[in-house]
Amino acid sequence: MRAGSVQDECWICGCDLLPDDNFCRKCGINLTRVGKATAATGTIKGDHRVPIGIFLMTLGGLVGFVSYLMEIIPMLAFGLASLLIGIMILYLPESNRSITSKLATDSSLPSLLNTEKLLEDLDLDERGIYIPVSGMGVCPKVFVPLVQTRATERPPVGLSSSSRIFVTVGKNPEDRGILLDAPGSQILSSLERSLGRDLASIPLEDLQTNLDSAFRTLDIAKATTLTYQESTVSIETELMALLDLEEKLRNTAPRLVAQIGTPVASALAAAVSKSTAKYVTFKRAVLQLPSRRLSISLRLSE
Amino acid sequence: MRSLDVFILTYSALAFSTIVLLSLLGVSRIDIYVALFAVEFFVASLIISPSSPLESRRKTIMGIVLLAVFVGVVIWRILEILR
Repeated sequence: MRAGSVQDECWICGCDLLPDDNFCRKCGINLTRVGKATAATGTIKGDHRVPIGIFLMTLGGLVGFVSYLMEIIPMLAFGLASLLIGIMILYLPESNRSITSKLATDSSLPSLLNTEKLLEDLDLDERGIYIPVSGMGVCPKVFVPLVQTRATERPPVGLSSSSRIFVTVGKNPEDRGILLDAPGSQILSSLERSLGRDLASIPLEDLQTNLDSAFRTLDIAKATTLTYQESTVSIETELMALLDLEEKLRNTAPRLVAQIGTPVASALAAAVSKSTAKYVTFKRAVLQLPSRRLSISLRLSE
Repeated sequence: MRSLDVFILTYSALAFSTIVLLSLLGVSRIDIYVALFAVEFFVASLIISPSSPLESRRKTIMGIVLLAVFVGVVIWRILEILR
């Protein structure tokens, strides 16, 4: 059974799962419980709009009725307007998916699923390594090793300019892996364009402010926080767009989510890799659907 | 801010501005207010594009109802003049 639905065992490693587990206890993959999360999301949204709509309708009805009896026309118009706005709030659906967001999801999902199939077919279980690069609009590539060896832990920096998918980074036959463009490469380029700066020139201390500003400008996320401790960087952000894509990927492409990252998570990992000029690997990426918060934890290595 | 919220805020601003303006001008016919509310709905709909097919469909239904009200008001006024 796929990760994301109610499941008894992890789709990646086959490890047994408890009903309340959010992560696989063996491989650490994030397990999204879609049913619960969607219900929770609906409740929050429903609670927000209904009281306002009912209040405006009641106010409009009362004011309109009293004004009609007292023959005060502007007040009657006020009552009618309130009633009409209340009806609109209640009748028009709250859409959390814009057409643009839906198109973005529909158009990018197949290519991401292809990457998932590639990881699955090659039986790649190692986490992807973001290779540091510099330059405006240049995005780090992700190297997914076949097995963890001394050579594959630190793939050569020059590998970023390679256009090959299957690469060998050492002398031994096992020093191989696949080299992919990061799923968030275009988001990263857009972030840099909106900032007008190469993220490689921004120190990690200032990255939070810059990421928060750029994500808000692009309407992707808000309230981005970044904390770092030794070789671990943790980022939390509240998604305003692409939530649908994030959710779908967690259900259909668990390897991609855990090993390489979803487009937004990948853009964040690539940003950290550029800013620190270090190799970056995903430790975990958790999406809390009700609060729309994406929390990722990254490991840095020299 | 989502487009539906922008739409409702825009419509509210237009409707309440109309009330203030017309009451300052001393307009005392409710049909004029109602007709303008209907027109403002279409203006707000044109300015703010819908964000989902469902929202678009429901806006169209509301538009048809308000258009019927507007046409009713206009016919009533014409009949008044002809009488």
